[in-house]
Amino acid sequence: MATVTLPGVRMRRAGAFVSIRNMFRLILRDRLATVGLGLIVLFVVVAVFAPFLAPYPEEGVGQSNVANRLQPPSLAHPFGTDDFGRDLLSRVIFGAQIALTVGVLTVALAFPIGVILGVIAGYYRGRTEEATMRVTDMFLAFPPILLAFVIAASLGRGTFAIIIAIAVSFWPWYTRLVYIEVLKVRQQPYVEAAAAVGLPGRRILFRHVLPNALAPAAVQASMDVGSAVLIAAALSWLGLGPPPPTPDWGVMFNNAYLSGSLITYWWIGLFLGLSLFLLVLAFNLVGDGLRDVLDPKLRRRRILL
Amino acid sequence: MTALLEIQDLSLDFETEDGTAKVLDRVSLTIDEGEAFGLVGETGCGKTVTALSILRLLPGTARIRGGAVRLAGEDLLAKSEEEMNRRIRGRWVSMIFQDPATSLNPLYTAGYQVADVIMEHEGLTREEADRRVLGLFRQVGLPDPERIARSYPHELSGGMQQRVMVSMALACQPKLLIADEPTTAVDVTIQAQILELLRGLKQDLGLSILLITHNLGIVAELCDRVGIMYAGTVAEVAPVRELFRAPKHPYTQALLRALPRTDARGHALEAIGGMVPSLYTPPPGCRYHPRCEFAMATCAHRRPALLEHAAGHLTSCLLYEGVTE
Repeated sequence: MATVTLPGVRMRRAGAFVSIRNMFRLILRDRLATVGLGLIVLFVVVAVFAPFLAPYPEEGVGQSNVANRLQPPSLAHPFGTDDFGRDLLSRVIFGAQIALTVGVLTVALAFPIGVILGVIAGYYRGRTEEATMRVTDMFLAFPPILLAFVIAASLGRGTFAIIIAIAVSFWPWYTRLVYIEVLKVRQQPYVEAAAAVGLPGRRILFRHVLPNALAPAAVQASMDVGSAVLIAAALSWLGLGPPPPTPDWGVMFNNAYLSGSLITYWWIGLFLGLSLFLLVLAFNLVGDGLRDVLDPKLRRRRILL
Repeated sequence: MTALLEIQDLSLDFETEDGTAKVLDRVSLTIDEGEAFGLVGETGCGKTVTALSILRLLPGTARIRGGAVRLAGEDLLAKSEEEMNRRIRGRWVSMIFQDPATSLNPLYTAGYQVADVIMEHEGLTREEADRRVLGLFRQVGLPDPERIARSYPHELSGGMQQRVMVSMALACQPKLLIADEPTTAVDVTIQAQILELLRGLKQDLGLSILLITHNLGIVAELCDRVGIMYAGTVAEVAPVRELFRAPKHPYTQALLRALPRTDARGHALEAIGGMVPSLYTPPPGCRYHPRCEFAMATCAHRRPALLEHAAGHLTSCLLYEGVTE
């Protein structure tokens, strides 16, 4: 090997397949996923800059303006106003903060727990496997929303309780998904090949097994952000959410429902429902796109180089 | 020549839910330095298990019942898992597998995963390991090593994947390369290339090779000596030419008659009558006796030993032990 032009840097950069940059580039080739990603970016921007974007920030966080109650959409109030005369658009904008926090935090809590348990159960087998998977099965036996409802109810009202409750009902799904994948991946010849050249077990587990077993759970996680928001809204609607002036979408549904205006005044249900729908849809579209991206065989050669 | 690897009377069972499968029964063989040894037998006869027991990569159900595996005089069965990883696997013995397409991790570039092995074993920096990788790729005849190092496995052809596999196995200069049916999953052209590559490595590096196959033709092309396995036992070990010229074991003889031959065109191929026995209830005595055309009464209860009945030619058959009935 006389003169070797060393591709050191480039080799390393292309080393790990799941580079975030690569992933974004690939998602942007999928039209629907791009729409989803665009919507998520929009929601994030709206949530972060809520105080500047909301036309009536004080009303957004709770100040009432009774003289103006239940106005239909107009130029001054594009989404109309609610029972207390608050600008609904401002309320929805501040509500996006809570919705995104709940969705992201729930998954951020449930995902690592589920993944770690799934990997351990799938790789170490034996008693560890039995214990972990039977407990997981117990949790899976309950519908997530019911389990979340019971836990949230016993923790008391509030956003924090809802996050914990949904996370507790979500982690077993990741455990199950990762576990099944690990069982498949550990049979793969490349795992045996890595063992044959003397890579230690821990390294094989984290470098070769885990990354290959993560895709289905990652796809599920991105969709679950939307599901968590939906379940959180349902729990709030059932009265487990934060106390009323909080611009939580579920709580707003609940208040309008209790006062009867949810049925009588169309704009309240429409705009709240639309926001919720779009947020859930966005995460589902991205999840779908992610599924295609994470399967290396579906990728075309052209894309990589 | 001195023996690099010595397997002596290795017996091994699989404890499964269906009972105990007697997978290996007193398997013995030796491989010299720089020698290519072919291990031939039908599917399920224990070739791969024998190879995996050298690396101690047996499935969890395997129980070693007796015997020894010695590499350069050291007893591998007595070593700790940690020492196997640090000193033996990859550094003394490496293995390549049947299907190159699935033997590389799809998530990492070819260069990255080979460099990973070097870094693990020799503590080199990424740059040093990368440089070694390019040298290795050149050594195994990969064109444009820089480009291949940056490619993902699915972007490479079957032949290239197999060469990357070989370079990964050779990354830390092992003395013994185990090749488990390296040509089964690739087409004939690539088969020839892989054999050529292995032959070159044997010559240039003095590498010992344990080639596992069910293809006697491939053995004839590459190997110095050959061992024939049948239902978990070694039937015969001989230099390749000797085995083809004067097979001693009735199973080997039947096997060679079952090969298609150009000079026997127009004649029906012979097949060996009967079935491979179940390893859960192997026949007593010689495991081949129910199918053997020369079987005697004694064969059903006395197990033949693997003995040197001619110079360098070992056979496990009572016919050569002076038994007559």
